[in-house]
Amino acid sequence: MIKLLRENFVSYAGDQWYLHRQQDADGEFFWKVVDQGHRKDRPRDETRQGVYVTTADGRLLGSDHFRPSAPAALSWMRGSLARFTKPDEAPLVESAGTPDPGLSRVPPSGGLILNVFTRIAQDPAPGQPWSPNHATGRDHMWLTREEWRALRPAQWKKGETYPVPTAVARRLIRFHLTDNVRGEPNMWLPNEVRLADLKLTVEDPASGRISLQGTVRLETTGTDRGYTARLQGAARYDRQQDRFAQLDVLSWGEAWGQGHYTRGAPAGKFPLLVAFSLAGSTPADRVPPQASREVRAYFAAQ
Amino acid sequence: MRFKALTALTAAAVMFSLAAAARAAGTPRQWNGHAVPSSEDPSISAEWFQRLHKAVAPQGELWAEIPWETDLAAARRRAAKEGKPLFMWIMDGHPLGCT
Repeated sequence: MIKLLRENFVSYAGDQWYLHRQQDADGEFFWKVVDQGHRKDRPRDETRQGVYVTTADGRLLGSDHFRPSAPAALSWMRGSLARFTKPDEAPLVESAGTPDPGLSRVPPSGGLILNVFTRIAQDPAPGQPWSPNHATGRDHMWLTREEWRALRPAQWKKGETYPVPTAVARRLIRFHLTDNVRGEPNMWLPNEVRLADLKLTVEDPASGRISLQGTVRLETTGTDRGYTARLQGAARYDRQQDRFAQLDVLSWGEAWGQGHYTRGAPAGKFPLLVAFSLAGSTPADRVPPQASREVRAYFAAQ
Repeated sequence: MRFKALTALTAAAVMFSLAAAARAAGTPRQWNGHAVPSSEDPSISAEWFQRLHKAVAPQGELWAEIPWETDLAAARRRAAKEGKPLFMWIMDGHPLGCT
């Protein structure tokens, strides 16, 4: 299946929450395709998620729900490919035009992107089939240039301890210490942050090494969902290059409960790990943070 | 009175020692071949940190080797130029981000 995709298709991945709403060329193309697909008769406000194969100008060749069976998915892909006939001339693809300004998400100029991976640290019991609780949650955390620069100490003095700037700490805690392994999580509300103490310490001024220590306690008003966590981090700031060469943070502790779209969490308290590290430069690294759908709230987290 | 206070102090000390001993003797939870700390552990060694941090990130996922496009217009232009169909993976939440 991977080989087939690499060799015979151009592969695109997107969030239908945006495409569904975009008032621009991408939004028009999305609706042109999905209106021919397996959910074409569904109410307009329902999701159109699934897999689609189309020509560059939007003629549908196949669409489907997700199939748990690899052979079935492979068969569907081959069938879609068989319906593709190479045009005598490449179809004209209109320029992207102006992206919908309300739904365009690009990383902050001069900013910093962190990969965020989440795992429930429970091995499957012998004989237990794979479940979404064994998946990896993925997200990205965006920092503005001013924010990542504020992670540096005022003075490069060994042992100097200072707090993580409030906006960064709140964003990290409310939007990224989430159990997202089963899908889109509920973000933490301001009043659900019961304890938040994140500090940075200069470990070695010469090499630019900084450590992070933290304690966080999150709990909903009804106590049905929460996360009690410790955080530790290792960073290295390249003072010659004026950039972070390393920014690794790990959160561990006990989580409980589940979100509106993330049913099926383990019963009781379960160990949840969240790891942050500098992202690379692929298109996948630029995928916006899940919580940036509400972009103002994301950057002004309280 | 003094005896009662002493007894209470001794009992508290014994209980604290027992709890500490139990904790010291207890083995951390294991996951994927790694020891996992609990929120009662305020910090972990640098080596433990590195191993666990690395283990959380996905390793060797074949689907991630596909050169996914995240710009729809760019993907369409590439499909037209290369004479290939476009495969669209559309989710609630980005498939390469949070799904």
